[in-house]
Amino acid sequence: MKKPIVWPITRREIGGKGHSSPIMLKVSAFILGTLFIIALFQPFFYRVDPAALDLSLRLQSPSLSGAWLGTDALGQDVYSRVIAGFRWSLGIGTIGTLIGGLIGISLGVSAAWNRKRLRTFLSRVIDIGISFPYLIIAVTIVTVVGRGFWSLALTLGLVSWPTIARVVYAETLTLREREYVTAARLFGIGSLRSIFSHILPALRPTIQVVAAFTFAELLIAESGLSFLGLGAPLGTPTWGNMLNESRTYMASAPWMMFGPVIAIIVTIFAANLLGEGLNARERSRSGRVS
Amino acid sequence: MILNTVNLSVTFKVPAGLLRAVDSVNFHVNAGETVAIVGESGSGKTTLALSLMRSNPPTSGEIFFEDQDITHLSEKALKDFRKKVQMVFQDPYSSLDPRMTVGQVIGEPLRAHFGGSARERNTRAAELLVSVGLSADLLNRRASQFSGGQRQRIAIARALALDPKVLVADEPVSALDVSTQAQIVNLLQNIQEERNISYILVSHDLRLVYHLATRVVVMYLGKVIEEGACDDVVANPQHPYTAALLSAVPALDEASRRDRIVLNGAPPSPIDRPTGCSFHPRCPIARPKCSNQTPELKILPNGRKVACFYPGELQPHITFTSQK
Amino acid sequence: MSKAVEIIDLQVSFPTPVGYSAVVRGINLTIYPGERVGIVGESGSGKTMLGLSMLGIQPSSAKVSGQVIIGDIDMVNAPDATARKLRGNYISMIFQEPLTSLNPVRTVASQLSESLRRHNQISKKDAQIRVLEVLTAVGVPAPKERMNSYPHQLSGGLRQRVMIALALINRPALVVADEPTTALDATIQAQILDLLRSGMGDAALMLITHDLAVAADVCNRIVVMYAGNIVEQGPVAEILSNPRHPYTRGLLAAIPKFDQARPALNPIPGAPPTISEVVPGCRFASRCSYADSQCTLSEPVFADNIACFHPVVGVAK
Repeated sequence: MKKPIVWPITRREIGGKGHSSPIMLKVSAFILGTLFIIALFQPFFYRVDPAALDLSLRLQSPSLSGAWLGTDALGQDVYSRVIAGFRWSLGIGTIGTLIGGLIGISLGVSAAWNRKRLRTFLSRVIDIGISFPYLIIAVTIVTVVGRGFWSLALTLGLVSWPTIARVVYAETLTLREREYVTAARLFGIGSLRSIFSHILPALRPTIQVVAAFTFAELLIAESGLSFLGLGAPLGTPTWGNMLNESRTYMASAPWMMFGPVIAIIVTIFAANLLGEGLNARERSRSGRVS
Repeated sequence: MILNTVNLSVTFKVPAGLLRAVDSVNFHVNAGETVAIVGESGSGKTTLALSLMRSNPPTSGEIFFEDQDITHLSEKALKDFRKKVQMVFQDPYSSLDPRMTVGQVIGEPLRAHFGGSARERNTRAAELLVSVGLSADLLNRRASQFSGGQRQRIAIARALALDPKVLVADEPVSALDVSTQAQIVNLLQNIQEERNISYILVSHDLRLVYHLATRVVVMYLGKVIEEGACDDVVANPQHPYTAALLSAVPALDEASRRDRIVLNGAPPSPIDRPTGCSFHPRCPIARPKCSNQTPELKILPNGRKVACFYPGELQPHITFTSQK
Repeated sequence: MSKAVEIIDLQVSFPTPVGYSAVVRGINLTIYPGERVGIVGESGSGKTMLGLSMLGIQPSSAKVSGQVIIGDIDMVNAPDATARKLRGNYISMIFQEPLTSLNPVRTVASQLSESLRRHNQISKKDAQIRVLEVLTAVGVPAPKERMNSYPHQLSGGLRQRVMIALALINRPALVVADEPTTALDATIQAQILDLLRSGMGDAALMLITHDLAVAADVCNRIVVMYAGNIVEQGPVAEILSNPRHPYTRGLLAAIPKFDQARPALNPIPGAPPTISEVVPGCRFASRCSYADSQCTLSEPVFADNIACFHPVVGVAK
C-alpha cells in the first residue's frame, strides 16, 4: 500500500522559537540548585556543630533566639543536623540513581536490541527484578557489607534499576524500528555505534524524566531503610535516622520530626517537579500543529 | 552484471502461516543502468530491494555482487559490500535521525568505514551537500529543521558519501510535492551521469519509472511476471497485469481513460495463494488453463520475459505525448 | 441554475507567534450540481483546510471567516446544531485513510444506517433497503454479506467504497473528497477514480488532491491553488492544453509524461512561502520566470478565472 501523504504544519513552518522553559523547570531547578549548594557548603549553614551534645539543652522547643528547630533527645541542634543530613541524603539519592541508571539502561537497551532468546532472557530478568522485594536486597547487603554510605547507595541502586530498565526497554523497542536505525545498519554501522549515536540520544529525555522520579523515590527509600535500621549507622545525621529517632518523642517533642520531614518533602517535590517539567518540555518540543 | 540474484526466495513465518514474499526471483542490474521494480502491495518489491541490500540473509537462493557470492556473508565480511551498495528510503522524515546535524548524518557512513577526523568528515560532507544542491553552511543545522525535499537531498548526499556503485531507491520521491519531485528526479539523473552509478528504483509511479528506467521488472505476489526494456514494456506490455497497471495510471487525456482495464477485486494475500497462475482470479482474459497450470517465466526473442500463457493479448491505451 | 455550494471570501487562519496567519486567503468559488471540481495544490496551498472548513470540522485553533452557502444556510456562521444537521446530509466528506475515519467497532451496515436514520425519518426496514442500494451503487461485491463486516475485515479499496457509500447515502448536494486514493494501490485507485467520476449521482464532487493527473482523470473543472489563493481555474481540457498561470504551467511541466523523447523535467525552483511569511505582491513571484516589478508590488486579483499580471498565452508543451 502506498504510504498516505501527510502534510504537517510544523512549528518550524509557523515560525518563531518554541516557548521558553516552563515555570516548572525554572522553579525546580532553583530549588534543587539551592539544595545541592547547601549540601556542598554544609559547614557554612550550621548554626552550631551538629554533633555537639549538650544534655542540658535536650528537648528544647524551637525558638528564634536558640535552636531554630529545637533540640533532640541528646541536645543536638535539629536544624544543624538537618543541614548535616543534606550531603548524605542527596548524595545517596544521586549515587543510587546513577547506579540504578547504569544497570537499568544497559539491561534495558540490551534486552530490546537483541533478538529472540537473549531478549526473552533479559526481559525475564527485568521482570524478576521488578517483582523482587527490596527489603531482601537491603537486608542481604547490610548483612554482607555492613552499614554505611556505599552499602546504602548500592542497595538503592539495586532496587531502582528494574523500573528504569523496563522503561528503557519499551522505548528502545520502538526506537529500534525507526527507519534511520535500519538505514544505519545498511550503511555498515555496527550495533554498538548505532546504540550510542542513535538510541541513547533519543532516550535522553525519557531517561532524564525517569531519573528525576527515581531520585525522589530513593530519597523516600533511604528514609524508610534508615527508619527500619537498615540504612545509615546509628547516630549519623540522615533524615531517615532523624525520623527514626523522633518516633519516641512524637508527642513530647514533635519538632524533632519537622526538620527532616520538611527537608524530605521539599526535595521530593522539587525532584518530581523537575521530572514533570522535563516531560512537558519534551512533549512541547516534538509537538506538531495540526 | 554488478548485482544479481539466482532463484532468490524470502519466506517469512507469520502467525497465519508461511509468507513467500519473494519467490524464486532472478534479478540483475548492470553497470550504469536504471532498473525499475514495479508492483503493488504484496508484490514483494520492497522485500526484494532489502534483500539486494543484504538486509537479511534470504531463505534460499544466492545473491552475487561483482561475481562474489554474498548470500551468507557475516556483517563483518559485508563491510566492503555496504560501501558499494547504498540506499535511499521513501520517507525523508524517518530515514534521517532528526537529532543529528546534517554534517553528522552525512558523516556517519564515512566514520564507520574510514574513521578520520571530524574536520575531514565535515569537509567531505560539505562537498556532498553542495553536489546535491544545498549550501555548505547548513552543515551544523539539525536534520529536523529541513523540509521533505531538502531532507531527501541530504539522504542522497549520505548515500553518495561512500562513492557507491549501486543505489537502491525505494519510492524516493513519492512523499514529496510535485515540484520538489521533479527537482529530486533531475538531481538523481545528473548524479547518475556524473558518477555512472547503477540505480535500482522501486516505485509504483509508472510515469516516473518510464522517465527514469532503462529496464523494468514487474512483480506480482512475489514473482517476476514480466521484464524487459522500458520502452518496449510500456509500449507493448505482454502480461495482462502490466497492461492493467499501465491502464490504471491516472490519465491526462480522455482517450486513455475510456478504455481503462479494470481488474476484479483486490490483490490476494501472499499467504493464501491462488492455484495455477497467481493472477488468474483477477485477470480479464483468464481461461481454464490459467487456474490449473502455473506459467513459467519465458524468455522471448528480444530479451523480454513474460510469465503468461496468452502474452500480448491485453493492451492498454496509452497516449504518448510524442514518439521518438 | 441553482448552486450546490457557494463559497464567498473564505479565510482560514491559524495563530502564530506573529499573530494570526491565513492558510486560506479569501477564496471565492461556486460549484454547480453534478459538477466535478478538482482542487489541485501542493503542501501549504490550503486545499485541505478549505475542505475541512467547508464542513466546519477544521481544528479548533483555526479562525474561519467568510461564507460557505449550501442551500440557503451558511455553514461558517450557522449555529452548531444547524451545521450538524447539514453534515453528512447535504454535504459530506471522504477522507484519505478510511481505516481511521470509519468506526472500527461497528459494522458497515450499522454505520450506514445510523447516518441515514439521523437525518431522515425512515424505518429500520427501509433503511436496510437503502443501505443495500447504496452499497451496490458503489460497487461493493456481494453487498448482502459484506454489509455485516467490520471495517478492518475489508480491503483498502472496499473500505474506501464504504466511505463513499457513507458520503452518498443521504443524497448530498456536495461531496468533498480529500486525497481519497492516495493511500491505495494503483489498480485499486483506478477503480475508485472511475467510481468518483461516474458514481456520484446528482451530487457535486469537490476532489482535493496534489496530483493533477488524478484531478484530470475524474473532474470536469480544475481549480489550482497556491499558497492560500486560487490562481487559476477552468475546464479540464483547457487547463491541460492551455494553462495560463505560470504556476499551473510549472506544475504540468514538472510531471513526467509518457513521452518517448523523454524531455527533461522542468521543476519549479524554490519552495512555497511558509504560513507566517509575509510576501509583498504575488505569492508566486519569487519562483516565477515571468515575474517583473509589478508582481512584487501588489497582489493580482482573481478575475477572468486567473490571478496573474502576466498570464501566459500559447499552448503548453
